[in-house]
Amino acid sequence: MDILGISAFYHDAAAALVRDGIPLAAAQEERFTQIKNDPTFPINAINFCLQEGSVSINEIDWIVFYEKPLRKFERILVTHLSHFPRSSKAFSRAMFLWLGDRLWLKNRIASELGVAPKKILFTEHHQSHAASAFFPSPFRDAAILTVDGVGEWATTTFGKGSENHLEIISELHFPHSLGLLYSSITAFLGFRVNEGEQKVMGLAAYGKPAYQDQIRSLLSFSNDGSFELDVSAFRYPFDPEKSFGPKITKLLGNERKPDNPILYQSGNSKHADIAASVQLVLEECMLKLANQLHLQVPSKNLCLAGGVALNVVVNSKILEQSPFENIFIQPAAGDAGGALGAALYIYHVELNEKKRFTQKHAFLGEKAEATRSVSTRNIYEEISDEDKLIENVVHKLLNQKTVGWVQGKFEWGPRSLGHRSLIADPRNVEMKQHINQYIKHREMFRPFAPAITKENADKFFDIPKGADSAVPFMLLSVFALEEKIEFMPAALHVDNTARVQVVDKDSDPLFHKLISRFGEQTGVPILLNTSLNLQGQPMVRGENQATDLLQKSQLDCLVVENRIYN
Amino acid sequence: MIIAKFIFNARHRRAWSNPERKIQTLESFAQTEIDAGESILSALPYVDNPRLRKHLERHAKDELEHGYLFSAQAQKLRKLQPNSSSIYKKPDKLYNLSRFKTSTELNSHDFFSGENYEKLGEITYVAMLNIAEAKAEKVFSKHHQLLHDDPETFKIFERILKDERYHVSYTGKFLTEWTNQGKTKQVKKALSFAKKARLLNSIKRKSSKVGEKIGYLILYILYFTAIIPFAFASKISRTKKGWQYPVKVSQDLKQGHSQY
Repeated sequence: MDILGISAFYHDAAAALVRDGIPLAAAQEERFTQIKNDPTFPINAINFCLQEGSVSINEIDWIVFYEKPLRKFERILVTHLSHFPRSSKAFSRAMFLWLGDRLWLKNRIASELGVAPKKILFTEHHQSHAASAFFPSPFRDAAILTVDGVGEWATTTFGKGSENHLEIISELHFPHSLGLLYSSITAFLGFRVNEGEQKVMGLAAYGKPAYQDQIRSLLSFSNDGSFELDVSAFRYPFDPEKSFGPKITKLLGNERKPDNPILYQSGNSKHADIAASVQLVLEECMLKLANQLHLQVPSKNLCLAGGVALNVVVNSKILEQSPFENIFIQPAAGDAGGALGAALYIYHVELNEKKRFTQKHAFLGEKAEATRSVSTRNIYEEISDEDKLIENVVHKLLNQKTVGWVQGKFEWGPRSLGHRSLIADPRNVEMKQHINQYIKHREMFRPFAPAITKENADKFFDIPKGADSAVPFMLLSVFALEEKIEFMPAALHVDNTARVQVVDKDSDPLFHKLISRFGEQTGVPILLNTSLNLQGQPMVRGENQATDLLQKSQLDCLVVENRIYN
Repeated sequence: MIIAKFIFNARHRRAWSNPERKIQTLESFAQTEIDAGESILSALPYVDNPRLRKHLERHAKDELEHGYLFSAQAQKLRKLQPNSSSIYKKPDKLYNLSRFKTSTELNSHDFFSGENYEKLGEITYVAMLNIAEAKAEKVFSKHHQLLHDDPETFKIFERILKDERYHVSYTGKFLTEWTNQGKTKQVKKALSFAKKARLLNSIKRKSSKVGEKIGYLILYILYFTAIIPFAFASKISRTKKGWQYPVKVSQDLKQGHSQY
């Protein structure tokens, strides 16, 4: 049975093809269009999935959209009405969009894809998130926590999963949303919403939570674990352009304009302090939610999804301090993952199919050479012997070269996991500044991740128990062992934590071999790993886009499969 | 005519009116040129005429080169503005209905894809290129004149304009040759088709914009008239706080079919 899952029209449009309960292909539209967080109908991702599954659209059994459009419309309409007359501008924009397009989504999808409307199904936004976290997890039973900005009405849900069953047991509704609180502060700090949240998390490590009381005053918790936001401080219910109101400015001072400098160094670290404060409050809230969930679903296992689950510091705190012993987080925890979750939800829950799988890697995208074309004008050296290729790359890394490493299928989710990566020597402290400043042209405070072989992970990092299913996907923040800090300064954050990626030989033998060989030469089986892209752009799709990046940036060399471009 | 000229000039001046917009303009030109280059590349397998193929190969290479030149310049300027981010200021694509389109539609340079080359034939394809390049030359020439204060970007436009003139020239020569070979009727028909296609696209784009504005206006008026009673009713009703309990899920696809 083939089920095609689709997420689109908010941010991170994506498609996923599930055959008999196993994902064959999954990709975000942004990789094909090269427009970051592309929200448009993912026609390219769908075509890729169909091609990968060698199936035509008419042979697909069900097509599932990841949320219920009418319920979402209800929320938008009611919210705008209740904010009359401040919502006048947003109302016109939203109604224009919905009346002209979204309300007729079923027919629109049917006509875009040339299928009968009866083949198109819908799941709830948070059901999709929950399914994307539970069904690919290694757990037979688990508690499920999903937290994001907003879906239809729900912003936070508690769920429980067992074998092929999944149930949302309770949910908190819009406008009370931790995701939107964090996004509002992201906007206040001058970063783009739905993209800048990761910057806020990175910035937080430079600051002290000096504004925690002010941020805490924006929400109140009840004994049952539910929370309420002080809605009067926010504008997001009625203003799509500005999410925070004057109350926030009164509490935190003037907002930062995008072109203003970011204050994060000692002396004046106001922006970092605000980031640290909202991060601390988020951690407290998420921990409370996790504890409450455990009371209701006393499982050892926790599955996390929703945009907030991409906050690696929060994930680590939950694993360390909540009663849950094991954790799994969907690598595409944001809306893109909804495409996979929607397909899995229909397969398991509504069609009552029992066959499960465990997601051990995220390589569900298009092969690197798929975009090899006549327009590739660069000169390359081809090395067919794998050992020689590895030797060559290690030699470059030892010579302090930055290497674009493009191998096999691209990753599912926002993290670069060694298939579309920029790699470098983590021992060189100057590498961090060099990559941020000259290659990626991004803020200097942003950290990189270390990729380490599974066999050596515990020798360099303090990896908590129960993290086995999360560390392959770079979804936890862990401390480097004190005595090892000096060996990888470029791959650690300012607080000596790292969003570590543990590379398993079975899941990615080539990347594992590369790290191992580098380790044999240096005694440090770690590579600095960051996504292969430029600021404001998505990760490269394949060979053509990678060679373009090589031309446009100061990257030293590029390895695509067995081709080396200099 | 004077008003049209004024608007034309104002639009071009606006493109360079501030550093961020300048970068965005260059990035958008880069994308258009790369689209065009790739589009022509995709047509190459269908071109039988070796002489035309040679020209199209160079044309595609030029377009890609222009894309890289624009892109490199945008990158360079962006480095001078370390905290700028082009996407921050772009309109929210969420509200841009025109992007809900299939990949087989016309791209921003108004070239047909390679797949359509076979369907249209070489004369129509070259006629379309000729019309599009003549327009591009006119537009780039205007931008070129506005960049005297930026010698680097000025130089890039100078180089690109030279190529554009070549594109107009070789496509024009082919059309003349075909006319001399007695294909006058076909050439005229192709040119007329190309002009109509461009005009039609332009009308569609403009109508869509006007329709959008009228739509917004109607909704705005409705908001302050018909909606008012519902708005007050909604204000009186309480928002849901605390935990909500969703209905149980059935296992028969009934809920899957529902959009609510």
